[in-house]
Amino acid sequence: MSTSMFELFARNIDRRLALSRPGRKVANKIFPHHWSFLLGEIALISFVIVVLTGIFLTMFYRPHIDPVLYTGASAVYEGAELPAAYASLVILTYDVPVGDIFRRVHRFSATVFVASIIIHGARIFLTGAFRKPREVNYIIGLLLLLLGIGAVFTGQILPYDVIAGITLRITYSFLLSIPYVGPQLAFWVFGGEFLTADVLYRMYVMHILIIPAGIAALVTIHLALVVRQRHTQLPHPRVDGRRWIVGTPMWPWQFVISTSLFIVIVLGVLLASILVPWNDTALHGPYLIGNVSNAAQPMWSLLWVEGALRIIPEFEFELLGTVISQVFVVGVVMPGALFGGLFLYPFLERWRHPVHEPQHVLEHPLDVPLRFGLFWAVSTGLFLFTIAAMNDYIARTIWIDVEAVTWFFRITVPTLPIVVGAVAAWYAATHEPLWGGQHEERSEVERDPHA
Amino acid sequence: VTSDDEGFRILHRRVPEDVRANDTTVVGASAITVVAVVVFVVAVVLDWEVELQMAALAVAALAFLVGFRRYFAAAYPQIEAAEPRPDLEVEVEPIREIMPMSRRRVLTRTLAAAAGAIGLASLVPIASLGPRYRPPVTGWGPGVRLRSDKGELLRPEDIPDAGVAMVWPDGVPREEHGTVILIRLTREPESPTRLEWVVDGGLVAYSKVCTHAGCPVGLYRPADNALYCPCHQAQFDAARGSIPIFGPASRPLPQLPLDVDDEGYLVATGDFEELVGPPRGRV
Repeated sequence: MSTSMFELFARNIDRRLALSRPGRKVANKIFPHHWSFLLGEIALISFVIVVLTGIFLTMFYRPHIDPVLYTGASAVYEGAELPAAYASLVILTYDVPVGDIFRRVHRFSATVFVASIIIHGARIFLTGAFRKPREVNYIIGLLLLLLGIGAVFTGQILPYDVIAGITLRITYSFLLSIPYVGPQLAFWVFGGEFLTADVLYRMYVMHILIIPAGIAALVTIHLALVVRQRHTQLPHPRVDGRRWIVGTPMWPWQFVISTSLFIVIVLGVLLASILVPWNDTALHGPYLIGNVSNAAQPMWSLLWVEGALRIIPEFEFELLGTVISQVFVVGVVMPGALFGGLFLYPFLERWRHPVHEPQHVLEHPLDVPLRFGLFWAVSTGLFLFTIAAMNDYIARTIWIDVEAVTWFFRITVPTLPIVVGAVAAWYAATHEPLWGGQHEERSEVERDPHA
Repeated sequence: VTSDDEGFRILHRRVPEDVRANDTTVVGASAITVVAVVVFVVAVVLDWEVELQMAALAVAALAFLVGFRRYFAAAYPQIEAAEPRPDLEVEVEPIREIMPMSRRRVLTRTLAAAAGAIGLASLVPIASLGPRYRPPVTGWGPGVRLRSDKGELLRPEDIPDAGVAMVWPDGVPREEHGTVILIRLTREPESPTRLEWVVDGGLVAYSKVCTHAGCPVGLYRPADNALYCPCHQAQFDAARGSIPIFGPASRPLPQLPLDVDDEGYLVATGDFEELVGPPRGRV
């Protein structure tokens, strides 16, 4: 049998680098065989797509606000003076072959990235995968979510359209409102009083360098820790999951599953980009101070902050030489409290229910009523705030006053999450344990090693 | 897969049937992939619809997915395997030091403090990121004329009944804190409107920067003289000193002192007397 060129090459590389033994270890790495373990992979895959499409887009983008004359294929903007950033987007969309595809795919995969991190995080939270020894990876995951939101946020600024301008303006107001240090902080971030030419360039550097580098570094650590600590797993009928990890080896079937998933995500992103024109630059127009639009909304993962800005009643009072305002509480205190709570949660739960053994086997969400109730309470609150961000749209659509819609949310937001959370916790508490008894001694692996 | 790796165990193994139909699928799917890629390239070169370009790519991806999975399905058995979890709580003997504990602790803390000082020094460049904070100033002052967003100097008669205009101080166009909305009210203004700053019966000017989160208060509703912010629905009564009547804003929009100069143009007689825009953490 003749040796192929590839085998010859591989053998020669191996004789120099000795990769076959560690390579076999990687090939034999076990992955739990359950769909919920693929959510994190979807995030990784969409990150790869976002980076690849982003590199292409960076070749054409101009992070400047000085006006330039646009001449090109767009009939709307032909002969118009546009901010350089906005003009470069129009060029990408109308004049660069496949530029529009790249913009649409980039934007939609970014949505998939943040969404899959959130759903992956919900899975981790509900099944108790954050418990000892995985608290560190839970924290890294939350940091990745923050960076993902930051990436989409800065990305939304780059077109320098009306939405970008208003988003910048409100962000500036958030910073200004921070007691004592806020105004100076706002000047540091923006390079002076709103609006500066620097700020777009700074958002650009964050978007194309600092945030992606941060995500890449944290993803590497995140995966390295999964390899080091092994995956958690669902209770197995025949194997003691505390001492064994059961599932599919990396080669070939986990590789096939992951690659298939990659192709499916590409496919889904392409189809979504065909059906929805995710690039809607032409709709909004470039930002000019004084201009505003009802459509000026942040991306969906921050809509809940926008909703809170709309429905929480006004207050503004002086206290100890500073001002405490609605904008400060909504823009800084509330997001801080949400993420602070998420970061602290594993430690709060461990303080309430001390565990000393490593927890490798997952819990059924319904088997931990308090956690389940908390999840639904917070989710309901965030959902209501998110819907509240569309109060003007709802009012217009169903022909009632925006004041009435606002009052609806002012009443439901403080009450409904408590009701939903309590019902969820009660339902879980009355449920028979689903994955109970998982800690009985049993192991087919040890009885019959070579089954 | 063999179990020569220590601890790696195969629990379950399913060997696929060897069928020729499988090979046909792999070849067919690969062919469709290549054709779809060719269609994509042609579509880009001939500048067809972008949706069509993406559809060609999608077909290529789908066909490749089918071929890829069939290829592996015939080549490898399905396996469920197990490996022992590593013990993460392993004690390692520390590298021995010769310094006594009592002295070491003091020295360690001193050195850590020094390292912290260097760390603080690395924060100094942050101060270069922006100028020192100072409260906002606008281009408004005594005798400064009002120039509209269309670039015209305005006279009272330029604003019709229930008409509005977005204006800036003459010479400072598109300046954030100087943005003003000029309104001809549909009824007599009353307190707390500064009536001495009302011109021509019903012409008033307010800062357009919302006192809630800084959006431009973009909409004027003549029926009840309300100014309405499209961002968060703060509403102000323009006939009553623009006091907030609904929504998240706490303070009225500052009123611009308004007059008419000798040549009949609208002018400011000074700057705003209250803070323009959203609250600031430093008064």
